[in-house]
Amino acid sequence: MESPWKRYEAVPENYNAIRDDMIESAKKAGVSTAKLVKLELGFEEIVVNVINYAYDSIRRPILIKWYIVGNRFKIEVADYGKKYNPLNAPQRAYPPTLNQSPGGYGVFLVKKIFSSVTYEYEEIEGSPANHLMMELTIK
Amino acid sequence: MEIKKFLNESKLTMKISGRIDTNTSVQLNKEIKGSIEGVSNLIFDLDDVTYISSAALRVFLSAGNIMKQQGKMSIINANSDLMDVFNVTGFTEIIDIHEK
Repeated sequence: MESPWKRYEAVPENYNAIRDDMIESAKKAGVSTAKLVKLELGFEEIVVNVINYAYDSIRRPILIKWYIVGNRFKIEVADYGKKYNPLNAPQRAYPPTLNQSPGGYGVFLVKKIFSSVTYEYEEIEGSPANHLMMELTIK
Repeated sequence: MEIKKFLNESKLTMKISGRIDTNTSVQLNKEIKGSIEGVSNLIFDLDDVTYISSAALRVFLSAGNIMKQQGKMSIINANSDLMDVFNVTGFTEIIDIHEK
């Protein structure tokens, strides 16, 4: 069942607590240990990206929710920063080469890890927001 | 994250333990940059590493770029979860990586 939004301040000091909340819920949902590592990796890419780049302002909310639908663990992340679709960000060529500048793995990994990743720019709790939705098969 | 360094002539082994995430990868990058002058064989021992993020991948790639000029670099003792990440990103095709 879909859960309500959890609202956090998008600052680096909050990341570990946000992650621990999500991982605890994923464990309870039955996500396997091997998938937990991948889930955390994808989650970190998205949330840290919001924390580091979404806002110039002092007010920096990040809204997150996670819930189970059938055999899928769903995560949604929203922010009120400038309109930005991270799925359109440049990503690494595959396979990589040592000559390339390091970077661009985040989006690549997110798309590989989750069975579905979608982006919408839409109103959430009364304001336009970047809204990213990800799904991971539990087993 | 903890890093222990073992230097034997020009061979440097960095034994890392814990998590290499967005925060700790900054520390790892500093340790590497401050340690590899004159090193011709750089080995990362990930035996006790439980998690790597894309920030860690960037650090390894950056180190690989430097070591390409001055010798060789390898990663050893990566567990199966880490190997999944190295495989899916194609790192196993450009860096010498050995599973635990």
